[in-house]
Amino acid sequence: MPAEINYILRRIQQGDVDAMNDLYVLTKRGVFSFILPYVHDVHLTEDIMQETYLKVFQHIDQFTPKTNGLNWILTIAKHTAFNLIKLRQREQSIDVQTFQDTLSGGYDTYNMDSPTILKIKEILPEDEATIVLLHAVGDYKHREIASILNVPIGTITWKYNKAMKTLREVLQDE
Amino acid sequence: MNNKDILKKIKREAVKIEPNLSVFIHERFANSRTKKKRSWWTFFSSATLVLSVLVLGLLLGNFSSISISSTNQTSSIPSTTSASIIPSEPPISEISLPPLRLEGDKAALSISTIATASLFNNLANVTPLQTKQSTAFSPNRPNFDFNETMNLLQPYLGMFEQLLGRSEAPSIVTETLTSGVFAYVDRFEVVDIQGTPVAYELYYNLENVLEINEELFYDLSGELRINGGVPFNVIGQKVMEDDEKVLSFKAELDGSNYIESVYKFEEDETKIRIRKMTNGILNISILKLEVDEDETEIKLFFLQENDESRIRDRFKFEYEIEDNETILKISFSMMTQAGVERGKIKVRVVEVLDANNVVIGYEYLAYNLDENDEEKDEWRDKRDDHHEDDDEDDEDDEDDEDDEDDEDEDD
Repeated sequence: MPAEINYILRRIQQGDVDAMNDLYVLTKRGVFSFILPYVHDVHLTEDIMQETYLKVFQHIDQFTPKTNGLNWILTIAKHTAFNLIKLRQREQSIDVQTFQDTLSGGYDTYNMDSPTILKIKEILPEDEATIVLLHAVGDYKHREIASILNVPIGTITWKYNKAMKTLREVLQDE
Repeated sequence: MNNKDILKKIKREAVKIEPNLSVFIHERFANSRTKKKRSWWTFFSSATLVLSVLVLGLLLGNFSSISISSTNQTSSIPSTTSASIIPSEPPISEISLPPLRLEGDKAALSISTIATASLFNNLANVTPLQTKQSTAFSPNRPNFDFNETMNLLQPYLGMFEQLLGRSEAPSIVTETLTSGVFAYVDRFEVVDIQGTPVAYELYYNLENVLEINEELFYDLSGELRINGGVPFNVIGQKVMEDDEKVLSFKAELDGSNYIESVYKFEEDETKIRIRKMTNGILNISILKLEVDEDETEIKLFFLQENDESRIRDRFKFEYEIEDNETILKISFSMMTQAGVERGKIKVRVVEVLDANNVVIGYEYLAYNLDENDEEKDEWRDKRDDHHEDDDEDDEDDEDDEDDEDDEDEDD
């Protein structure tokens, strides 16, 4: 999949308008599952995704083909999430703490009928939640997640197993 | 509930809330096509460092390839009276492009850590480079010590070699730590000119993170370990100063021994000011990577100890291919007790026999600006080849004058 994403990004660089749609179809799950641990508002998630793909296009010349295309998109998604969360917080007159606080739950969550995903957000550390969601929603293999997050595969496997053990215990009790 | 069931459950919920943006994507993409074209130079500006490192890589990659081609140049190497310089085997394999995976800040941090190792090699478990004067070297300059000049430049050459002297781009692996006092560790490894791996570990925390125009600004504090040696305390920050992005990084053992590098990113150049304090003695230099349309220049300035606004010595580095051998040409202008000394030095990588050990080092040939062509082209003459470069020499002189003006203005 990484090679395919890079190929599509190169097509966009060359001005192929249709390739943007192909990129969206191919990466939406990954982007969505990557953003999900940060926010739990459907509309905000949608806004972040919109902004992310818009920025991908606007800054397409910055993409270098030898790098990991999905990683590049997710970096944009993360920065976009930072920005929008901060903006929403300001709009709601919520004190802005640090970005880390924000990402680990500073933004109020609502409007999401997803008890298991909410549970993941609630009980798992951010990095573990990201790994689980990338695997479950994005259908990425551990090797691909390692590449996306720039973390050794051993770390990914270890954190994934730890996260799943936690989830099993919690969901079993329910 | 087993893992499979949990994953299915998550997926079902996710599909229910997954936004459908296809229409939006298509419409907005078409509408923003012209906007993209206008922003090309904006991109260029923000990616200056990456480009600088890229071009630096190309240049230094060429330089590093000296060792490859020199294998085939055995007969062309000037004979030496002391037999201290022997034909080289390639110490470094094929040179590829620099680390494309590095974004601007990471590239700057990796340059800083490598600078720390190169400029503080005695403290950082890194083998210093050897230099050897070519026997073809014969400038008539009783008041000028070329060896001293090469000693001054040697760590910087080592820094360039470490940055690019490898068979593939180093990948920085960032790991999030779950225990200990630091939140992250960046690990990467490069190979020095001897072919010895140098391992870097930068443990750090980020604080006061702010985002301005999609760019993160932050304070960094941590610890740098080179080859598992004594840890350097590290502090750094990225800030906006007068509309300029400035990234600073300081690695110190104590108040009397530290290296501080400050990066300024401009549209077509990256300027790195390096303050090196060794046993209380301060040495300040500026490394400039200038990106033009199709070429990059590397300039190194040493500033006056008692007046940082004035340049003491200036060096300009160029890489030229002569008969498939890449030669580093250094033009210099140095302040000495006898006045300003100007000249040129050519450098190439060879194996050097030092105390019965063969090590990879630099062979250098120096010549005066006013000397005749035969002396200038000593190495090339040995290969029965000849190129005219007088015009270029003249241009170099003009550039040097320009640099002086630039620096004075800058500072």
